[in-house]
Amino acid sequence: MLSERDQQKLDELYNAMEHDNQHFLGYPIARDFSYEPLYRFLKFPLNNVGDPYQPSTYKLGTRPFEREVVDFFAGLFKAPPQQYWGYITNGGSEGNLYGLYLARELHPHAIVYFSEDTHYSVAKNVHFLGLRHIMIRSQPSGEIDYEDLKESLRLHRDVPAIIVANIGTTMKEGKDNTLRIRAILDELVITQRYIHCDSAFCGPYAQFMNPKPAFDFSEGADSIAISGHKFIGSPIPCGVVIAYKRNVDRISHTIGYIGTQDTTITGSRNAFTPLVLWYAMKNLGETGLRDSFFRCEALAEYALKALQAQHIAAWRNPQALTIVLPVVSEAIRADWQLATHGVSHIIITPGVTQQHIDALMADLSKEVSA
Amino acid sequence: MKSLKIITKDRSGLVAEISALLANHNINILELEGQSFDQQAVIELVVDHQADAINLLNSHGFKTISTDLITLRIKDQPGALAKVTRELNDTHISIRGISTLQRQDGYCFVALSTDNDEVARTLLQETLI
Repeated sequence: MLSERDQQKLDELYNAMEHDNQHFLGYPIARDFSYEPLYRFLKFPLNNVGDPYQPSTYKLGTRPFEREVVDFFAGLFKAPPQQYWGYITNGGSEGNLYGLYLARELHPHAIVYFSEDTHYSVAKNVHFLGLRHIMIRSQPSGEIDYEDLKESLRLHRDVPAIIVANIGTTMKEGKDNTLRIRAILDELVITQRYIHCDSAFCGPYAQFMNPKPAFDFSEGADSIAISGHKFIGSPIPCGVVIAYKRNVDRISHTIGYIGTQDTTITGSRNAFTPLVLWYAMKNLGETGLRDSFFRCEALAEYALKALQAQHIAAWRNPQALTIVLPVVSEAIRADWQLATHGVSHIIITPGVTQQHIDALMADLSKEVSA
Repeated sequence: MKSLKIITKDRSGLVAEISALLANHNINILELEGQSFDQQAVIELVVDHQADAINLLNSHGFKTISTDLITLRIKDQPGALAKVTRELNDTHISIRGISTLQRQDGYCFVALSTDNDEVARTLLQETLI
């Protein structure tokens, strides 16, 4: 039983979250989800320990549901049937770590190439794995500079290459093109190569864009990581990573000396978030994801026009849900939780409404007239 | 005590701005040294709380790194970073990573770490900052 003081503390936290949840335009996080039917499972000590495809004596898990989620995204990302493997991660960063881990096991002496606009977790993961890296220039849109990439690869064409392609950079939602990356690797005859796609935010909807960004397995990806709590929405961070089974099998054999074939990063794994993603996929399906993207895209256009009407030099990449604008004041940044790194941005996710945009515009307008 | 390096656009009042920011967060500057490259300023500081200072300065838009890293100023052209790594590889120095800090006016400020920073610094002396 909590003391009155502790109960009050919890209530205060809840009330603060209720408020902050309505002033939240700077992070790619959906907030219109509802998973009440799943709450009853929270009384169990859930754990999807180990590999989702290996049998386990631990029964309080959700592996079949996890595998269904993997199947859904493998289909969406055009992974060849029966040739993929995947699991539900604790978020996009773990998916990126897994992709890089696979890549390192396949090419231990490789150099990792990624653009300046890449999420900081990639540099951190590269450091964890003891890999070498070269940072590549970005174009103003946030997309990788292919000329710099080509020249950098050319100078190290005797070394295997691991490329981390962004399918939606953190600040500008710039998208790297894996077909162009693959063409450069082909031209330089770099055969020992691996392309991992960080599709944390855009992965669930990128296939519905027109033109569609090139990033799936049919377009050169060796592994793809997405976040579950970003565009789809989840009360707990989660994600999905999908890779070629043949590559996972190779590394599971090489780590056999530790007495397990489990290649997942953490061992004990969240078994509630697979249920969340399964529930979301059953409710949404591809059609629901597509509709959700179109609604957000229309609102992004509305927000862009509203900003430009206030003479703010805002812009967005084609069909992006991220609107880039010059750095806003500290007060606006704090009030609307706008991430700022050289530029500020607002991100239209499921749950953002026209009222939210209008309220932000009113705050910006007040500042201009003050 | 550890030092840190700030790479930013040069402007009047810069040192006062940095000093005030750190002072407002109870971080003391023990030593300060500055260099100017065209429009860019490189300021090296010794402070009493290095990690806090790096976090604070980065969150206020200053590119700030520990001086444990090698920092270079090289021409900003395709493959520029790869050329540095190639040169070091050819002399059997292994690079752990090379990242851009700032690009401005045709030059690129770069941070790198190697398995033999002492020799790397000697090799890259011309571009070292």
